[in-house]
Amino acid sequence: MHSKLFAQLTQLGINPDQLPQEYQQLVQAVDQTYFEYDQEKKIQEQNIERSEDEFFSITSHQLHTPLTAIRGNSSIILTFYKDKLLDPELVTMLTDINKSGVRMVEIVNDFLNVFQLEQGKMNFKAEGFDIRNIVNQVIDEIKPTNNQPEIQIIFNCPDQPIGVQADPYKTKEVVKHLITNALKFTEKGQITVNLTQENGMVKFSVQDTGKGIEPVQQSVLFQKFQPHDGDLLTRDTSKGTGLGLYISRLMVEGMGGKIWLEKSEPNVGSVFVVGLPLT
Amino acid sequence: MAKVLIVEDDPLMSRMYEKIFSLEKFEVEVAHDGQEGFEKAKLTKPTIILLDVMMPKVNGFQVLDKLKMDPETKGVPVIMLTNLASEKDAETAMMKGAVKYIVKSKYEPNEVTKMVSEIIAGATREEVPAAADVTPKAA
Repeated sequence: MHSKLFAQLTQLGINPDQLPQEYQQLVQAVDQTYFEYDQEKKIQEQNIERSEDEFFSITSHQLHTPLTAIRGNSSIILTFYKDKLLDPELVTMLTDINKSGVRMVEIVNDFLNVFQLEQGKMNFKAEGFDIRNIVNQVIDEIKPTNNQPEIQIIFNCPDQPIGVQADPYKTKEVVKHLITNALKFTEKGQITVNLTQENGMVKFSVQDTGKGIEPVQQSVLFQKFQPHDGDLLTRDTSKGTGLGLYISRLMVEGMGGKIWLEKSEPNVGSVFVVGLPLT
Repeated sequence: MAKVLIVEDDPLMSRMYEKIFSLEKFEVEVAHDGQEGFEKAKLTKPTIILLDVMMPKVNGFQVLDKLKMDPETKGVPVIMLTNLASEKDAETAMMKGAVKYIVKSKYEPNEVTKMVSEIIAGATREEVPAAADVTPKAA
C-alpha cells in the first residue's frame, strides 16, 4: 500500500484489512491512483531535467550551423575567388560578412557559457596538469589569427613543469580570454605572460602595454556586461560582449582559484592575474 | 591524392566542406547519414573520414563504433566534426578512437583542411602498420 494512503487511514483509526469488501475495492482504487500519480510526477521531473540539458546542445547546434556556413562560405570566396570580385567594395562587404559570422559565434558561446555557469550546470574537473602546455597551446592558436603582428606575445616559460589542480578545458578558456583581451586593448608594445608559484598557488599573469583601465571602472571589471570603456551608450561593442571577464571569474572560482587586476594605469597598461591551486 | 569521406546530414555543411576539400585538391566522397557513411567507408576506402556527431537514425558515435569494430575500416583515421562544443562528447570521441574532435564554428574551412592534411601526414609517417590494414587486398 502507498505510504501516504496508509498514513491517512491510520490517522483516521482505520485498519484497511478490517474494512468491508465494498470499501476494500475503493481503497485499492485510491491506492492505485496514488502510485500512478507518483510515477507521472517522476517522469515529468525527468523530462524537465532532460529538456534543460538538451537546451544547451540543441541551441548550440541550431545557432552554430548557419553561422558556420556564413563565415565558412564567405571565407572560401575571399580565399579562392578573389579574382572574380572585380569591385573592391565586394571584398570589403564579404570581409564584413565573414567577421560578423565570427563575432556572432563568439556572442553565442559567451551567452551559453553564462547561462550554464549561472545555472550551476557547468561541471568542473580537478585534474593535475602542467599549465605551461596550456599557455603554449593558446599562444600557438592565437598567433595565426592575430591581426596585430607588430605586437609580440612574450611567454617567460619556466624550465620546470608547473603543475596545477584544475579543469584543463576551463583553464585554457581563461588563459585564451586574458591574452586575446590584452591584444584587443593594446595598440603598440607587447604582451608579457608569466608563470610563478607563490603561497601554494600558481600565478598566471598577463601584462599588456595598452590603454589601461580608469580607476572608477576597476571595481566593476569582473561583473556582467562590463567592458572597461564607458557606459552603455558609449561602450565599444566591437570589442566583445562584455562577458569575458565575468565568465573568466566564474570559471576560475569554479576551479577554486582567484582572478584579479593586479595593477592598471591609463596609457601604461594593465596586469591581470589568475591564481590556481598547485597539484 | 588523399581521399576524404565527409559524413554530414546538413546540406549547408556538406556542400561547404565538399567545396573546400575539392579546392584543396582532395578527392571527396560525401555521405548524408550515418548508415550511408559506414557503407561508403567500406566501399570507397577513404584516407580519412570526417564524421558529424548529430545525425538522424545512426549518430556519429554509433558510426564510429562500427568503423572501429570493422577490420576493413578500423585503421582509417576519423575526425569528429561537430557543432556541439561539449567536453564530454570530445572525450567520448577520443575514447572511442577518433583522432580529433573539431568544433566547426571555431574554424575557417581552410583551417580544417590544414588540420586534416597534418593528420594524414602524421598518420603516414607514424602509423604505417595500421595504415596497411586499410589498403585494399589484392584480388
